[in-house]
Amino acid sequence: MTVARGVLERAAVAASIETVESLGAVCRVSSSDARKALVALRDSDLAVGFLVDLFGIDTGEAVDIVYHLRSFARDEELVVKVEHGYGSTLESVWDIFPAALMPERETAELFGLELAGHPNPKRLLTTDGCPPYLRKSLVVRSAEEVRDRASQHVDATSLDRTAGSLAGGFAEPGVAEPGASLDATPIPAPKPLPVPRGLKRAPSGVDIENSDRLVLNMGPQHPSTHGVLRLILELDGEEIVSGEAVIGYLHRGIEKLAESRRYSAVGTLLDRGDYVSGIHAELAFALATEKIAGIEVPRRANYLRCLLGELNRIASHITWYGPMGLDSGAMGPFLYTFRDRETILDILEDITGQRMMFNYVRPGGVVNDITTTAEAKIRAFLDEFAVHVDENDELLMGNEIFQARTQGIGVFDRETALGFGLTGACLRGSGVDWDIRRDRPYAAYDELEFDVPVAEEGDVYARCAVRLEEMRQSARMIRQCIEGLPEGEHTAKVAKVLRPPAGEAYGAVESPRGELGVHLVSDGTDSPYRMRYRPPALYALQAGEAMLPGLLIADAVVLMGSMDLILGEVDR
Amino acid sequence: MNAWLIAVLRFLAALGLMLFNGVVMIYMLRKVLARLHVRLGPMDNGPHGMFQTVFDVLKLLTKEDVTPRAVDKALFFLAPVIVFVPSLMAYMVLPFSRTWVILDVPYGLLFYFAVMSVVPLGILAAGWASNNKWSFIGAMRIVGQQVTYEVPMLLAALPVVMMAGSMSLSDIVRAQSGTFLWILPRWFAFNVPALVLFFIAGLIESGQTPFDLAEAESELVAGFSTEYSAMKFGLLYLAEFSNVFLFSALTVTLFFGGWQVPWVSADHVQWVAPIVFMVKTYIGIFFIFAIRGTLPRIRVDQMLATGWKVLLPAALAWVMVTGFVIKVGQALVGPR
Repeated sequence: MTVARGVLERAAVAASIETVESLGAVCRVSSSDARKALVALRDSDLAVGFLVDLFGIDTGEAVDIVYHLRSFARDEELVVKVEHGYGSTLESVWDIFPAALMPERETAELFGLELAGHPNPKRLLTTDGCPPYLRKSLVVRSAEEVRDRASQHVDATSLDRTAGSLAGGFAEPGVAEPGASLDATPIPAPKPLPVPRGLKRAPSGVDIENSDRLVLNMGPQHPSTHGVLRLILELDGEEIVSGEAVIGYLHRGIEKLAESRRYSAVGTLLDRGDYVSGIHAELAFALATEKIAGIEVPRRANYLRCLLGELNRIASHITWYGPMGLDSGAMGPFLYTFRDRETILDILEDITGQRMMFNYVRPGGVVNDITTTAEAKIRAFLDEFAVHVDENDELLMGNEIFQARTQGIGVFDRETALGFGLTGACLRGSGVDWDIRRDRPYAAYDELEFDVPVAEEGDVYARCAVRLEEMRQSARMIRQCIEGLPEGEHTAKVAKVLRPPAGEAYGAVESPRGELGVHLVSDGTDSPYRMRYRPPALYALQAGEAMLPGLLIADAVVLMGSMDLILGEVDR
Repeated sequence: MNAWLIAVLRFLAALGLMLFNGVVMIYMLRKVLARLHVRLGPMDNGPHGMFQTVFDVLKLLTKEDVTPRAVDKALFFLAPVIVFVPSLMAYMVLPFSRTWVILDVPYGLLFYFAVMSVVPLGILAAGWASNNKWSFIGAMRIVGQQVTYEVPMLLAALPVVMMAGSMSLSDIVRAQSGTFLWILPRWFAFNVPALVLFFIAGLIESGQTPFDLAEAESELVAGFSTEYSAMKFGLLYLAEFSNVFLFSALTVTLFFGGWQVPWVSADHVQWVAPIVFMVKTYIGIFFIFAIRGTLPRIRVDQMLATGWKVLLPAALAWVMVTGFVIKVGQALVGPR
């Protein structure tokens, strides 16, 4: 904290710094100094080289843009908050932290800010006409209220992006917003942008209308875009000249919806974010809530959280591994892996009552205790899985064609991977030894024994190898959880309607896709004031997108496959 | 008999065989892949789902034939025919037994290659006429593939021609009768490098995994056949299976003694010869399907590199080696 103060003072940036226990050092700087401060922090001996997340919080008077930074060297978290008036200009920091590329676009559209200096300042998640709905002035109404209002008057011209206005399920409470004006000063034409190391060109998207090359629309309906990802590829023969990822087809506004739900019900939303590993998102939210509310979780609950988390991790890695085979043209792995996935989903159903949308981990503990049948099933599964995982390893990873297809493709070196905010297996595949389970232990991970696999190459194959090894480690942890499951309650005594005190916290878990964080702001009521869901897959997607130029179509498919995207999480 | 009648009957025989093979092979593919992938495959229609493919053919026949508005109509209709007809013609020269050959031409092998090299033209036409970017890229890949595989494939078949001293497929089969080294059947398969080269080039020719680049599902949706539906798609699909059968049959003819049974004189196997031939061919098909269910797909530049930098020089070198060995053999033992 004092180091940060010194750094900012040397850079002549006026800042107020306080330490929030559940968050780290929080610096507040003015919007004109924001870029200067970030550059100073990055290049100082603090070596804050990693942008964990970028998002906004509507404080009621202005929008706070939050830059959540991490210094791996010092193992410190640093949060920089910058206040922006409604409708003001958000200056892009993508040339400082490339990870800001997509989160900035998202923040700008959802809070109604103008984005300057960004290579591709288009809307990311919503279509034109969608109001900046994350502002507090837009209140989610019930269906009846919307119907009543709509029957009174519908004014299509009021659908405007800068003014908080009527659209769909939103209604304006009638408070005029300061600073929201239609005639925002025009932004000067962007200067040619510097290209960060590891990139062939600035990720400025594909100019469909003016391209004289073949522009290929890959998705949203395509066999290997893993959901509803749309890739626009500008091709020279089979080689990609530029590529752009278009997302938002599955956007449901989970972050806004969470603001009108009770704490115990937010999990149902998060399950539908990363829908193949719901336990992890639930857990991240529960951790953040428990930090604010100061809830002590029983030891048995922690073990159960780990147990189900790791089961879910295997199920999720399997859904990555099978399609990875399909992406490279091999049908077999997909069907082989579904043996194990079926078994795991049966176990999860036995314990939680659901196969995918669990809402099992809640603030304070977990909903159900483990059943004896589930325990037997897990033991049987572990024995079986030990054989299957080796089979899988040989079947695909040992295949020479697969190796030729994946080695040396889509290489992220250490700096690029950190710069783009990659986390999880993608980061560890690039030689960064960082795992939240080990380095910021939560639940019962500090009591479990496991290795963190790391590969140095940073290519598609390295990421695959890391994930395969992670499955083995997960199996190891599941066995420890089953064997060392302590006696006791499976949940703490928590009020039915939870009202945590006002405060702010960040809860992060190592989800199968990387660091899944929930940044929670509470105002003391029974629903969150602001819930930010850090989607690791979004960061992986923008890194993959930036890596597209120079690859062939077939490589693009394999590259995107190796980033392990779940579009439910990317779009939220 | 009337010469015209004979011609028509021969044509019908080839067509019947092709359709029959198509239906059997699709069922076989499903079952083989299912067994490889720890599942059951079709089970409901008939015993072990045996009639599933028949129903599928009926469905294709009665389905609405959609022609997208933006396609090149003439070419769009013509393309499946251009793909289908050469495949049918190639059946003419396959020797099923000593006498069961639809058309016993002295240059059967050459005829086969000449006819089959028209198939990629049809696929190119299909991809171009579809006016779809996926189809187009698939078609472009086919052109690259055709140029790459044809030369090595011909060169890989050349050692066989040199050893048999003939381009007639019947002669080539006859040259593989008897045994050598007292025990081994005199199959040209023991010319292993030629067999391997021929097999790889043939996999590329028939567009099978790992060289199924033209319709690479995970990359190009369905490649050249993306816009096709109903029986036009059926023709393309049938031609693909027919090409696999032809390739396997040709491999059997060139390398595994065709319709002959090893160690048994050709005179005793006259009546089982077609069955032997079919069994051998279907064993070959099984191998191709097993590869299809197992291997990932190679990338297009890797395929081109394999064709030009590995297959072609290797095939050329092996032609020279075989020629040298034959000449030395003749000098030592005298002409056979």
